Amino acid sequence: MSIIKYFGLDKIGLFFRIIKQHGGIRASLYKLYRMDELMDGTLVGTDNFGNKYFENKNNMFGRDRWVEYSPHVGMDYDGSQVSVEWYGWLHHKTDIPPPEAKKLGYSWLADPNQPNPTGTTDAYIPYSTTRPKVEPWIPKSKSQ
Amino acid sequence: MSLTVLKNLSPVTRAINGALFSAMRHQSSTTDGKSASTPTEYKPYSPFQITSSDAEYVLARVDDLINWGRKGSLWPLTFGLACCAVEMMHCAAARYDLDRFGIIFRASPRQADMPDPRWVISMGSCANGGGYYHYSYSVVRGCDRIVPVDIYVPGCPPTAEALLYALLQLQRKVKNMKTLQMWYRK
Amino acid sequence: MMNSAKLSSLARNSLQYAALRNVMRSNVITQTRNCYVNVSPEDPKMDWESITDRAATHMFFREVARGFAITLAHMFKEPATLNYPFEKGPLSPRFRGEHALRRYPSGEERCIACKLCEAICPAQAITIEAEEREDGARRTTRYDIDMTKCIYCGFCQEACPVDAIVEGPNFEFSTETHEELLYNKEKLLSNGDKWEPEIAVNIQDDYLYR
Repeated sequence: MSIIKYFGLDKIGLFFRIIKQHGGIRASLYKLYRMDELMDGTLVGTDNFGNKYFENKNNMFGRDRWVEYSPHVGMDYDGSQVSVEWYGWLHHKTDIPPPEAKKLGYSWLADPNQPNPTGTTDAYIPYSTTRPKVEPWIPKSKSQ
Repeated sequence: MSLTVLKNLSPVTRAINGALFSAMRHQSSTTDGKSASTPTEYKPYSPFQITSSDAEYVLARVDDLINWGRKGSLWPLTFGLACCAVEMMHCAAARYDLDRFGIIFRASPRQADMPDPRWVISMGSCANGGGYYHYSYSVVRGCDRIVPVDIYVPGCPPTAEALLYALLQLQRKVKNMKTLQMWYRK
Repeated sequence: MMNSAKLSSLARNSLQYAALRNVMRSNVITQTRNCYVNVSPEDPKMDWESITDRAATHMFFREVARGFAITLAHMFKEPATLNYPFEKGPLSPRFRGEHALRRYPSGEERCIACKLCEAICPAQAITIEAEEREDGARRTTRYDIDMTKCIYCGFCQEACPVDAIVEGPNFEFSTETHEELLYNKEKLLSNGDKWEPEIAVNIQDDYLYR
């Protein structure tokens, strides 16, 4: 261990590297405001929604993978905006990043990016999928 | 079954900070809107973008400010019974750490409950709709038969992350509240 | 024990006893109780050196200083907190979250309306009605799960002979109304269409144990 590392002076270099990585002081401050943390990591991939997925194996387990939500959503990011393809990777269920994983490729698969629709106009409303069991009586009107 | 009544206390300092902050945010968002060269369209912070008059515009910004203060200081009353209460504790402990959202559990209704806007999160199947005990003769089939509920968290028990997700969803709901705008329209 | 008592009564003669001792050892459990450990704290030493040490510890708040030092040290350590919407906790392939109805690769729905899940459901959250389809296949017309009754035990998944009803990995489906949690067949099928990549991986991970 070098003397610089012993006194933790390499963290100063890391600090400037992180700011550079996030694109300057202004962009870093915005990211800090949005994500509460500035992390040093490598980009693993991007999904169709625009979410970026990062990894840094030096961090502790659980903090070593994270998602940066698409800039389109602004401050309205939401846990359910994570793509289904990346879900298992982000939750540490698999170590294979989705770009390398094999795809199922069924034609009937739905869009993997469907955020929770509750509170919006797309919210699910339950309805019956059966035929009605009783037929309503429609009284015949007397022809006059 | 766990039922969380959230209450909001927004201290004056918080409100002042919020005023400065949202003014800054607003300026930056307008400048972003003007420069057409930005490659990505950023969703603006405020959900109230369409205002018909100047008065409504001002009220919308004040609403933004109020909502910002409210969603940043949700003080829930803890009312947890069984397994859900354990998950609620997980949620408040160091791993998920509710404090960073300004959500601090209070032990008594008096501390959590004083001024008016109140929200309720119903956590777990028993609170949502009776759950396993739905067909028992001595059970209320869901706490929404007694108190109006804002967010239902399904699960038995929901994981700490699911509860945290619901709390963030509640923050989003609080952000969309139109307190002053509705008052003005009346 | 009877056997050993008999032996010892026989062994009045010391010579006999010496011969029999080895036999007895195999029958009688003898414990030597000479390994006691004193677990209570020792009395404080009262010599002058120890007394001055203790006095100095109290006078300079050594425990308080050590407490502050630990707090200070933790400020420079990596926090244990997961920054939730961005970082997420580890999840098991067996995690039981939101339900989904699966399809065969051809797109045909798997459920054959055998109603085993309805029968086993401890909370009676599942309601199924079945009819014959135009091509003669037995399929459900109604498959409702009341997610506010469901206790997420996974019995339906275990009972299902065709792996049709499964509990997927999703837990981020909290809603703003009660009605949105009363799932019908279409909702469950669309859940399946969305989550199939994850569900297939989960079943693959777990097939050796089923």
